Order: sequence, then structure tokens, then C-alpha cells
Amino acid sequence: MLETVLLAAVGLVGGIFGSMVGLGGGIFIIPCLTLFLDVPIHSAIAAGLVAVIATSTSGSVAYLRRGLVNLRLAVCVETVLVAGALTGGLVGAMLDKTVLSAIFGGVMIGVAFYMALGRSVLAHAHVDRESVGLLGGGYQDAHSGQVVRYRVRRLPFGLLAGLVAGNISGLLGVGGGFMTVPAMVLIMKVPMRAAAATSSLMLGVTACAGAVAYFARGLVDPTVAVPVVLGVTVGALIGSRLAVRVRQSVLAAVLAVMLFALSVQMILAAAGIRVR
Amino acid sequence: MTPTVENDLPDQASFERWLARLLVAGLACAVLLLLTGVTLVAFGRGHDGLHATSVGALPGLLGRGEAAGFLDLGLLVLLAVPVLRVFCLLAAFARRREWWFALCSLLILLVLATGVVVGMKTW
Repeated sequence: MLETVLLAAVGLVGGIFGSMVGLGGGIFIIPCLTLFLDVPIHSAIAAGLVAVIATSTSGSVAYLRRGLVNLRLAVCVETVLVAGALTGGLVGAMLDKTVLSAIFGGVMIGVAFYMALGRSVLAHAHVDRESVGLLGGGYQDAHSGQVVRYRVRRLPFGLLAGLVAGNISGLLGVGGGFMTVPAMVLIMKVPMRAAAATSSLMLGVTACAGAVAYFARGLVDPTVAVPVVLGVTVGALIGSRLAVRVRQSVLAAVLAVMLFALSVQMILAAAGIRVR
Repeated sequence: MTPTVENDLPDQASFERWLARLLVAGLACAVLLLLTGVTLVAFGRGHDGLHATSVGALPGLLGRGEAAGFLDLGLLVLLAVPVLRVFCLLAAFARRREWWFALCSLLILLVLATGVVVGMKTW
């Protein structure tokens, strides 16, 4: 019973952080499950993927209502994301747990740096004023009241980044938002708010592609996945309300430090050294 | 509703709101099934038999009112929500004759279907 409550608590915190900073939450949930609750890495990844679907679904609702999601761009990028996630999911289910833990720890360090440094750089992406083209879009900015229009640039490079993001997502059981958002902003020149909203919608289908492989192989353990999913769903609802009250830069810095500490523990655990 | 940009269609905003309602309904349905399963576990209906079950075993488990059936069905419904969303986009793009985007949506569904087949064969 206590373990179930702890699993739900991990999901709750992951859901709050995930929805507040625009990630799926898997990057926080999976190391917590493996390091502190001794959940096997494959079960943790499967639970993480299902949790990402819950975060993405609840997070996308608000973005869709505000007209921030670019549906045309979403289906284009999703095509390569799911292909990458499927191959990643199949490879991940076969990989040795030590190798998987080490890869996860390495990717987490990258995410920690992205959270600490990258997001401020991303906020200054250029916004276009010419014709939006076939894939471009627009939305009404809540603060200025102005209509922000943008054109999608360098689609092939963006799709290539999407394929890599999908692969990492399926392999490690994370949503991949930490890669798709920078790819859309820096490569495709999509404004940050539209990129985060579109990425939030895409995370669900990307995680689904990976989760399907785990589910079909019987690796989704309901005793782990269900409490985490219920916790994440409540957490995502709380996080979306808190997001407007907490400064994003402070939150990103706190999360970066936490992720860095978890990544070091994850790599040490893969090397057989347990630090708690 | 006036389109925000030139490639928006007149029904864009209402379609996005409808899509949001679909996501809410799917998530609510999944959470309800999971909570039913958790309640059954609390009352001792199938607590010992909790494990990852096959889809074929679900009707039997649900018929017997066992927790595992509701929990697995809840997880499956959650997995189905993004798939259903892509189905809706496929239909919407086809209705608007935006064939390139309809094809992308179809490709996503084909890859997901491949995932199910390959995953089950590997198992």
C-alpha cells in the first residue's frame, strides 16, 4: 500500500513539474522509480511512456482551446517522431538494463543543461511577418493582444531532428519534448509558445508509439503504471494552474539541479555504485 | 470566427475546441476505468492476480469483475486517446481536401499499427 502511494506521489510531482515546464514528466519519473523505489528500468520506462500520454493529453487541452497548436506542422513532424519512437521502443525493450540506465543518465545531463541554459536562448527566436506558407500558422498573443504569425523554415532538418527525438523517446520512455521544442524553435523558426503547444500535443502520439511496443510485449506492469498515471493526471492539472504563478526561469533552474543530481545517481547506479 | 492567419479555415477554432473536448473525454474515461480497478483492488477483487495481461484475456477479466481487467482496459483507453486524435485529424484533413496532411496522418496510424504487430510477434 505504501509503495502504491509513493508511486502515485512520484507521478504527482512529475506531472506538476512536467506540465509547468512543458515536458512530459518522464525524464523525472523514470529515475525516481528506479533509484528510490527499486522499480526495474523496463517497467519504469513503460510506466513513464504511459504517464507522458496522460500529461500530453491534459496539457494539450488548454493549448488547443487557445489556438496555439499548429495541427499541420504537428502531423508532419509526428510522422518521423512515431517512426523513431517505434524503433527506439523495440530496441529499448531488448537492451540490457545497465546500458539503458547509463544512456538515460547521459541524456538527462543534456536535458539538465537545456533546462538551465537553453530555454532563455530559445525565448528570443525570430518571428516572421511575411506569408505563412502551407505549414506556418499564427495565434493571438495573450499579453500583447497582437496576432503572431510565423513561417516554418528548414523542414527537412526539423524532420531529421524529429526522427532522433522520437528514437530517444521510444528508447528511454520520455516524451522527447526537450528535443522537439528546441528543434522547432531553433531550426524551424517557430515561436516558443507555438512550439511548446505543438510539442505538447505531439508527445502523446510519440509516447504511444513506444508504449505500444512495451504493452504488446507485456512490459507495462499495472501495479507500477496505474498509480503513476493517476498521480501524473492530478499533477498535470495542478501544474497547469501553478504555471502562471511561478517564474519559469526559477522553476527551470530548480528542475535542472534536480535532474543533474538524478542523472549522476543514475550513471553511478549503472556502474554498480548505489548512492542514496 | 475570423481566421487568425491566411491558411486557417473558417471552422479552425471550432474544430480545435472539439478536439480538446475529445481529449478530455478520453482521459476522463481512462481515469474512471483506472479508479474502478483501484477500488476493486481495495476491496480485494483480484489484487493477487495483478500483472500485465493480454488483450484477449480482457473480456473474461471484465466479465468476472476483476481489477486487472479494468486497470488494463484503462491503460489501453489512455493509449488509444492519441490514436483517436490522429484518426480525427485524418478525417478532418480529408474532408478539407488537404491530401498531403491526410497522408501524413495515415502514415502515423500505419506506423502505430506496425508497432502493435511487430511488438506482438517479438513477444
